[in-house]
Amino acid sequence: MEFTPRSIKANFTESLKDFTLRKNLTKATHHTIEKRDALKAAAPDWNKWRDAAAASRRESLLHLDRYLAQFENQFTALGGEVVHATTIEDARSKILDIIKAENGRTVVKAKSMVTEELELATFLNAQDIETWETDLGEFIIQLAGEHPSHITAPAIHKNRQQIAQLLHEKMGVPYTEDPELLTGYARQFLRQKYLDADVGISGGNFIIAETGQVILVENEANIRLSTVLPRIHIAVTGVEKVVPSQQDYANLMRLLPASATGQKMAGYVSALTPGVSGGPERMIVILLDAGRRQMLASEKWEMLACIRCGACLNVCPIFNRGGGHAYGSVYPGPMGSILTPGLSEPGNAPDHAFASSLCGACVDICPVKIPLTKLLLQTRGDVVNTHHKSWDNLAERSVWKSWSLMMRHPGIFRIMRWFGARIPVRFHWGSDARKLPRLAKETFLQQVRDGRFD
Amino acid sequence: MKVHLFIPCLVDQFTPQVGIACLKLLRATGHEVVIPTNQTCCGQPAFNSGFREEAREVAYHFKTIFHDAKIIVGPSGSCISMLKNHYRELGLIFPESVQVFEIVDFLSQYGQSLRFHSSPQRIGIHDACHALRELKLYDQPRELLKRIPGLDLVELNDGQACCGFGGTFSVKMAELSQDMAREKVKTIQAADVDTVVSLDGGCLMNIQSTAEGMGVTLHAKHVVEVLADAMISTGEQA
Repeated sequence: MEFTPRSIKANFTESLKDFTLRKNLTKATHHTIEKRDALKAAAPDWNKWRDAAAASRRESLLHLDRYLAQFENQFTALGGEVVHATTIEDARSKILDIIKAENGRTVVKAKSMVTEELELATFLNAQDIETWETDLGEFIIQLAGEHPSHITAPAIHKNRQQIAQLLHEKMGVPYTEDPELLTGYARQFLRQKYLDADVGISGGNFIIAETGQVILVENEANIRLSTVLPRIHIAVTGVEKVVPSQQDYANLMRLLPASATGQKMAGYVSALTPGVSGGPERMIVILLDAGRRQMLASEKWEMLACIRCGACLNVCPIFNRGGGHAYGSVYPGPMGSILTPGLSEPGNAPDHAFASSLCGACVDICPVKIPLTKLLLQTRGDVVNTHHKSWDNLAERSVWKSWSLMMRHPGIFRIMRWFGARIPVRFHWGSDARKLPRLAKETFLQQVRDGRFD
Repeated sequence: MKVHLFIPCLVDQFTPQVGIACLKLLRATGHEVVIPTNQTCCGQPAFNSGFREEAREVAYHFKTIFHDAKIIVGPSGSCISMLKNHYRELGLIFPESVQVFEIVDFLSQYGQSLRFHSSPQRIGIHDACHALRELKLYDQPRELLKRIPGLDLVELNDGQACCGFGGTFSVKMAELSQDMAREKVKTIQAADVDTVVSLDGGCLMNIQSTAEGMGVTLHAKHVVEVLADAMISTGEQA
């Protein structure tokens, strides 16, 4: 996705005026959080599961190459193929080569954030390979020509009326706000595409080193169909998604559906296993790096423990005010504000980490205990250091340099305060009616120095 | 015990009465209070803005000023969390013998001797993010306030939602910050209280200023202000 540097602030300003967006979004996120909270309250072992999940994710990351090699051995022993892709372009061209070699003309796609990184559907359609998103939310987004605004609920920013109108306009179906009927229209259209498709493409929620399986979690059975009906299946996933064993996977599944959608268990969970009769002829896993190893080597490595549940988005006051599109990146919200700059070239997406009040609600909800506020702060430090030559940055640094000087010299601080207290106007603080309070007549420390409390 | 009082810069500059309340309460609990008058700031504003070098310089000044402290107590969740949780990210570590407390945390452990006179009033409570999530102070302010006879402590709807201050966030992303602050003031109004307490100078300043801008009469106070007002001083007790 393209980034417009320094645009986040303007995007949020726009979003703040969009009351429909706010209403659509908060209604959905609050509902999900309530269901998640109820499940947590009913699970006395939640914190134990969470500790185990956090430890298991870090174990994977600390021995990433070992587990990836184990996965590859298992997967290929079963008859699957593993392809490594270092960059987004590399992954795109390798996927395209596979499809072309098989004379593929039609692709059905499951929902996957990694393929959003590749903008895969758009890329393949531009190469004259008819590609359809089969997840209902993604299908809506594809029809609208937009990007997902949430990592688990791509069309969360749209309400029923907006979806009804979109399907009416783009598919020529009668206008209806009945969700059953709307889903029916999409289903009817996509059914034929599953049958026509030569290639199915999915992501991978987890890949299990021990068994060589790819796990896919969903609620609509569209992933089932996309992975079983076409001759060829390609699963695209980030290298960090590997988990050591079935035990680890089972424990993570206690937390993923609950954290993502407030469900105790997802509607459908598939374990793709190559060589099983009735499945696709070829099963290929693309293991994508695209900045992940660079991040693994950095202070922000724990971000790669993320299981993409989206709970940090749902609970974030900033995300709920801006919506995912305001971030202008594939991954929005707290996790996105760390991943986006972390996975890209240094200096990219410099404003993301600043779109946070550091309230820490995300840290509390994260099922794998990623210290998101700590990582946001580290990212801020990175931004300041990589942008050290920009004018904005130089100006701000001079402010902090002077501040530091003043704070290390209480005498200078007192003199500056003496002047500050004599400024007759009250400055607007940020925007409109919020004014900086007046400085107190005498500071507490001045009163102490004057012996007022001896 | 000998306690070093840390008065965060915002408190010192804008709300010295909070410092006075701390002093009064600490003395009433029989502690010897040391106030280093050359203290300035803990370094949090620069740290949260990504200027770690400048933050480290100021944090180092703070550590030098408080070098002989064994117990550091101060009113503000985020500043105390800066000392307790973030100094180590700057490579500055307090010796294990040094204990750091938000004042409400300290009083909930060492303030058993405090006695309060009746003070019938309705007060809302806003959980300051860093006090709540980084210092885990939830029960402590509630238990202390409930020791005041007649005080009616009201929970706000969505009381754990951020007020939108976030330090320099309130300047860099002013409109977002303002929107969050307005919503907070609205939930305080909806709770039908005209006083709200919290544990952070930044949140209190933000809520107070926003309420003023909205034309809402509201007193945003640190918990210690309410405690100190209702405290029976030793003279009265005798």
